[in-house]
Formats: sequence, C-alpha cells, structure tokens
Amino acid sequence: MRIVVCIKQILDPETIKVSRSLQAIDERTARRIMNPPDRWALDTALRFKDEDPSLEVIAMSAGRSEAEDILREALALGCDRAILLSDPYIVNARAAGLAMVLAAAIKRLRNVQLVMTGYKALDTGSGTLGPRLAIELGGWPLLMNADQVRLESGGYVSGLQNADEKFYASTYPLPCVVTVLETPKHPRYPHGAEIMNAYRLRSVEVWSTAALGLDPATLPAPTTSRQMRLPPPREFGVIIEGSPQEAARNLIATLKARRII
Amino acid sequence: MDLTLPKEYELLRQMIRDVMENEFAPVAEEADEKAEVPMEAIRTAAKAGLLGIPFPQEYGGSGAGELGYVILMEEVSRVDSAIATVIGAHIGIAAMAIYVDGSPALKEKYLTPLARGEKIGAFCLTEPGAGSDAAAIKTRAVRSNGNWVINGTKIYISNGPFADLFSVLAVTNPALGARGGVTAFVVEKEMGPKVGVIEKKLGIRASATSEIIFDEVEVPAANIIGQEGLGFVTFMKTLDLGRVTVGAASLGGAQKALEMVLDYARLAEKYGMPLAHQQQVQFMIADMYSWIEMLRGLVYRTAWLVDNKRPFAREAYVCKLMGSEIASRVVSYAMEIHGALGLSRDYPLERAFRDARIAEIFEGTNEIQRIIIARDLLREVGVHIEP
Repeated sequence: MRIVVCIKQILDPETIKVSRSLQAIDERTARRIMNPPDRWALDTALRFKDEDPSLEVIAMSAGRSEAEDILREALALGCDRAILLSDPYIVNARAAGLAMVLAAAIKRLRNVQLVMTGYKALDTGSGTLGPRLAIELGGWPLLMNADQVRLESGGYVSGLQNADEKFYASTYPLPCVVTVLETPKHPRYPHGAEIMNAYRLRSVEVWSTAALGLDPATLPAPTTSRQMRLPPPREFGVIIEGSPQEAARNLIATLKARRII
Repeated sequence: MDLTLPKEYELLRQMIRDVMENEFAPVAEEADEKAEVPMEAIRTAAKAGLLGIPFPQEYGGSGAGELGYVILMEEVSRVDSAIATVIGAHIGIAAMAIYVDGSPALKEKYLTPLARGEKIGAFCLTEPGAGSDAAAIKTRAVRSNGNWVINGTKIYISNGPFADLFSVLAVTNPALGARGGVTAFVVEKEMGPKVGVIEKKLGIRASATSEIIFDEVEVPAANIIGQEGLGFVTFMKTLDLGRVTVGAASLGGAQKALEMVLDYARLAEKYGMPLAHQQQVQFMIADMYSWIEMLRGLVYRTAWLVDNKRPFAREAYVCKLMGSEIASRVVSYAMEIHGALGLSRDYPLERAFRDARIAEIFEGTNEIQRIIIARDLLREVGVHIEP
C-alpha cells in the first residue's frame, strides 16, 4: 500500500522581511522551509511505516525547482520516493490547478490508499488542498483537521477531527484524504547520515503536466500578479488622558466627532 | 573558488539547530545549576546521529567529515558550550583517536558504537604534572600474559564519570619516553577503570569532569590504538583535529553573544534612546561582528584543509588560540553592554561568560599554542628550538 504526503515549500514566517523598495517580500533573505503542518503529516505517515515497513511513503510537492530541497529533506526523514511536479504551468498555478495536477500524479502512481497533507499552508493559510484533492480523486472521504491519526485494521483510518472548537472521533474507509493538525511535540529529526545520502545518493523524480497527460490549456488558468503594494502606513492613534470619568467623556466626544457613534 | 556551503550541509546545520533549540535549550539553565549532563537530550542527539557526524557511514557515522563536525560544534555551542565539551570530548578526541590510527577491527569494535552514540567516550591524557607537558605522563602499562596491565591516575577527564570507553595514553617503555615508549589503548569501563574525584567547575557545568583511576586494569593487546610505542603521535594528531573544533565551538558561543547583544541593544534604553543609537555600543558591535567573521573564515578554511587532506596543524593551533580569545572578548563585550543584567543568574549571558573561559585552557593552553605557532614559523627560517 502506498501513502502519498503532499508537502509545500514556504518562506519561513520567522525570516520574512518586507522590502519597501521592492514593494514585496524580500525573497533573498527569507529561508525556504517545509510547511510545518506538512512536516507533521509526513511524520504521521512515517510513524505508520515504522509500524508496518511494507508501506511505501511517497513525498510529493508541486512548485518551483527549489522545492527539491524539502523533498530531499523528506527522503532524509525516511520517505521511499520523492516526486517534484514542476513546469511553467505548475509554478504559476493556484490551488484549483495544483489540486488537479497533484490528483493526476497520485492516480498515476496506482495503489495509493492514503493521501496526507498539513491542515493548511502557513503562507496562504487557505487550508483548501485537502478538500480539493478529495474531490479531484473522485470523491474520496476526507478526514480533516485531524489529530492522533491512526491506520486501523480492515482498511480504515481514524483520528480526532477538529471542527467547531470540538474534537470528534472519526473513522473513514480507505482510500481517504487526511489533513493533519500540528501538535506541540517536535516531529522526528532526520539522521545526519540520511541527510548526506539524500543529497549524495538519492534522487528526486521530476514530473511535468505533459508527462501526466494533462494539457495546461484545459486546466484552470494560472494567476499572474501584476502589481503588489504595501498598505498605507497606519495613522498614530489618539491617547485619551484624564480621570476615568473625563476619559470616558472625551472618548464619547471623540467618537461622535468622527461620526463613529 | 566556491565558498557556498553544499546543500546537504545546510540541512545538516538546520537539523542540528533544531535539536539544540528543542532538546537542549529548555534544559540548559537547570543542567548548569545542578551541574548535571542532560542525558535524555544527549540520547535524542545520538538518535539524530550527532555523536558521529564526522565519521564514515561504514563505522556508524554520518559521513559529514570535518566540515560537518565544525558545523556541529558551532551550532551546539551556540546553545550550550557545556554540551560542546561533552560532544567534543566524545567525538573529537576519544573516538577520533581510534579513527585516526585504529586498525579496521578496532574501529569496527569501538568506533562504531561510539559514532552511533550507543557508547560514550572519554580521552585520558592529562595527569598531575602532565598537562601542557603531555610527554611527562607517568601512567604505566606493563605486559602480562599477552595482555597489558595499566596503573596510574588521569585527571580533568571530560565525560569521565559516565563514559563507557576510554582512549588512554600510557608509558610502555620508560627508557624511550614520548619518542617510542608511549602507547595508546582503548579501555572498556568493564575492564575496571574507576571514577575518582568529580570536579566542581566554574563553567561548562553541564559537562562532567573527573579523575579516572587505573589500578591493575588489564587490557587485551588487541586494544592498542595504532602501533605499540607510537601513542604519543596518535594523541597529538588527534588533538590537532580537536583544536579546529574548539575554534568552531568558540565561534558558536561568540555568535550567540552577539545575537543577544543585538537583541538587547535594540530594546534597552539609556539616556532616553535605545542603546543601539549610542556610538560606543555601535563600535563594540562592529568589533564583535568583525572578530566573529574573521574566525568563521579561519575555522571553515581549516575544515576544508582537513577534508582535502592538506596540512592543517598550524591553522588548527590558530583556530584554537584565536577562537577561544575572540569568544572570551566577545562575551566580555556582551557583559559590558548588558551592564548589571549581564551578571544576573536569571539571564543566560552569565553562563556564557563562565563557559567561555575554559576554551583558553583545555586542549593545550593558549600559551602552548603560541609557543608552537612561533616555533613552527621560526623553523622555516632555520631556527630550531627544542622543548
């Protein structure tokens, strides 16, 4: 049985600096990392493989050629294969197009019973990949925003599904799409030797839309960004001084003067 | 000339940083306070391969060479210099002695469990009266029924209290002394070395240092590292490699102190403006950064020399000498900028200040480094000065 884990390369939020001269994020100084929730999805899949070594875990990413680095990290962590989906269409595609390309690649692999990914990417924050994949794969069940995910005997997957600020114990039949929540404990570390081997001995497969038999003309149009602007600087707020009674009176007067109340 | 760090080393650095920040940073203060080695974190580090980074994969290492080892020591020391001492004593001298001159069988038997972190190593050279003057050791190994029996006391042994394997230097022929009469052995804990006095230290308190007493400890002849009589050469070659990484550890400690200063200078106010706006603080920051970058260039170039099998011993002495002094100076500047806060036990700078001092002393005092560098240079112009 194969498990595909979809991972995304993002700019590390801790290293992002917005350049006023470029009117954009300065990508030269930002570090590229594996989206942390995806790292948790990978950790969960590799835990299943620890328990059943016959499982094949395949890391897959769609995007720019730089994403090869997170796929090599996935190999170092213990994945059996790593596949990069990349070509000019994929580089510019948005969520709808990417989900179709990822689903086509998953179908091509055959015998994939479980597709896992993080509950959201920390850059866009949309969290739509899981539901989109479930649709594109032909209506697979979706275990969404799940913690404590487990493979159950008889071809089921279970987990605690977070919805409406509550957790629901849920079980779905395979094949299934699972989006995984982050947990406070740090996921596994790659071994130093596996890091060296991931770059020196192992390879990342690169697939294009054409290789998947897809015609970009029939896929959702890619989005191009024409211009980005920084929001205007915020005005400095008003500090209302005086005793509580005076301050309250002044506050009401200020709000009325600005026609807020 | 390409000075870009290969990508596998970038990922290795990130992994080590993650391990240090997640596993060691949260327990560093308590480990220092209680003078206890954080063994659970050490076990996690071993699982990630941190205790065998430079060694070939055939012997349980990561195959990352000296470059990987330098990165390891820089990142470890950036979080906790005491742990750099634990790992440095284990990899850099105890296991390295076996790697440098051990037979394939000896490496298979002892280097592999050390590199995997299944066993912890200690390096037994120093004795009362034989520190800088390493050739003056008195520990004696005598042949007996095909084995060797070792008697003597080693002092200031890092990892001594909890080590499983000891790389030990002993006199096997007093008439020849260091020139052919000293032999290196691997001694297992089960063979009988005893832990003596455990040192109470000013700094690097989360590492453990003790006497190791050899009282009629019988060791098989197969446990000789390299050749009988050539142990002094083995140990000196090992220490040359160790010196590069003392420089790397100093680099990490200094880098951390600079990061703390930048953070503090940005926020703390004096005379109605952030410290960062004051020129004398800017001068200090510029000096700290410049020294650190000089050291970084030196340490990484020396690692390149080692990995490319070029002569590196003189550069290694400079790494140790300059690294330790730059780290002490940078931490001292950081204390100056932090004022009274720098002395507070609630703030990690005070620990960094105590931890930095040892690097000027161990692995050959800085005075010894200066003598050797000068004599090495003078030899090139025909001036030979014997010890």
